[in-house]
Amino acid sequence: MDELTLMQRARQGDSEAFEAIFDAYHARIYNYIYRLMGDSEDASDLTQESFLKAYRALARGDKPRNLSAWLYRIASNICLDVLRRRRLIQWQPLENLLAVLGVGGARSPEEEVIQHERQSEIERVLAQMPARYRMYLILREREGLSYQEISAITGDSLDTVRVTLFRARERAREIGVQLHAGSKKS
Amino acid sequence: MNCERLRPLLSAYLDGELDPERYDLVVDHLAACPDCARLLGDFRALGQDIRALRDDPVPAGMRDEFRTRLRQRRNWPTLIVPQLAGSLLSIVFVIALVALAIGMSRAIQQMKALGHAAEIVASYPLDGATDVSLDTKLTLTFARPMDQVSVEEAIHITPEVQLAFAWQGKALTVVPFVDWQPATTYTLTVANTAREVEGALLEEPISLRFTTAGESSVGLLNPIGRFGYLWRAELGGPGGALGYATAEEQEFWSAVQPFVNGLMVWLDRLHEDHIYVLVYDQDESHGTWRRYTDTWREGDPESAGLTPPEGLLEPIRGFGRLWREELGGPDAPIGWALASEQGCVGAMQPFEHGVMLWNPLSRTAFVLWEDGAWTAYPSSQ
Repeated sequence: MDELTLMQRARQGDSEAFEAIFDAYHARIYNYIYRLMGDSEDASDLTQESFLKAYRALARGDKPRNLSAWLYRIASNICLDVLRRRRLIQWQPLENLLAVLGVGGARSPEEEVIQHERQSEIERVLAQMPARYRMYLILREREGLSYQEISAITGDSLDTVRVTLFRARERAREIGVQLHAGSKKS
Repeated sequence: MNCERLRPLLSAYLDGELDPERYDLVVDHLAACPDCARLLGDFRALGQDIRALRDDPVPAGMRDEFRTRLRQRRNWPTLIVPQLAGSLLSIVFVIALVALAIGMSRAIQQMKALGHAAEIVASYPLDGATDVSLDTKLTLTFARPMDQVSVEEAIHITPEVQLAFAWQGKALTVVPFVDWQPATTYTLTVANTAREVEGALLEEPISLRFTTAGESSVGLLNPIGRFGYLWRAELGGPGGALGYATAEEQEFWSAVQPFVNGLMVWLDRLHEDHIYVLVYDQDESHGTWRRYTDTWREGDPESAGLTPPEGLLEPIRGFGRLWREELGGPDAPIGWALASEQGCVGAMQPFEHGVMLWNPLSRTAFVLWEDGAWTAYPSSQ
């Protein structure tokens, strides 16, 4: 059954049709939220919240033109809202991170270890970023979306998308430099 | 072109999102500027690192949990015609402090370390109060400064409604997104994970139980006039998702300001003292909303003197303060203002499951649903 038919049926209250939409998208949305929130329990709760909200919106007559972008948008709004409420725009104080960062990649020759450290380093960089910048970087680099698609999800103009992505990358670079400086000191 | 002007283009160059003219500019510059080439390399490496992040496996039980929740909600739009008529007469108001002995040991350990536990020294309405109106704000006053996030996360209410929080020193004001429902018993619980800035936890969970008054409003109504027309024609009338009106339509002095990605609506201080923030979701016909208390008073600074991008405006007065302090200012999802605020006479009517707002400037009715979504209905007349 194609997406349009599934959405039509979901609008009429067919929960099985909506479950098919959930099945098709939940893993992507879950991982998107996981990268935004940094916590799997949050990701599980907010993924379900996002889909329940989408279901209610369909039941009220919303007709999204692009189902995927629409789901990302709902998920983004829910996450940013939760982050704002928790005032967790930055997840952890920098000092704590620098303390954890005491391990240098050069200590172990094992590729797996280096890869693991690289992963945790980039996770720390993302965690230090303002939520909106983090969202932009994930949408672009991880989800591989075009500026047009990011604009559809965030509701920002193409110019804003371009400028925000530049600022997000600059900020990520600055944080990376700070983390490196800190880890060398310790 | 110098580096400073060119650098913002590097990111779009990397993404393949530059027009041919600027693309050529960047290529020429990169050939001659090792600093910008290095910056581009850093941006590229950042992207590679983000793409290399491993997926987190979806928790095994999530799908089943979601199916259960979905099926519980399946009849949501039709479940809401209530049998409230009988219960409307019951005006019971009890606010009781109830101790629940859960998680005591953690609190006791904290108490031993700090010599005291967190405590609530006052609440409003008072324990046992009756006939509290449907727009009552709950206030909890703590003995010492609290870790606000821990308190907000520790608060739960049944029946479940969305709550907004505002802090003033040690006092927390709790308001529902939509007025309390008539003749309904609410239990607000503060779990003993709420902690002071110093770290002391509540010794035990606190519950405030109260039942709202049923007759302070005129009961359930069939809306009339423009809201009534919309209610019947578009929203399914009595069997629809909005339910019955809980009070008559009221007109308000109002101010409306359009933003790049939404609008703000202020309703007359004497009656409402609220600012409704409506953010667009993809287009201007629906989105998400939230109600805030207007804290700006005559004599407060009108603006922060920010410089908006060309053609846009910094919101001022009450809208400006809210925009800067609560919504994120220039980074707010709603964006900068598109035009100045404008005064008008708006109208509002509360329903069982949301609120209808009338904006005479755009001749649009907004339905603000209790779950935080809104839908716009432009008038065809």
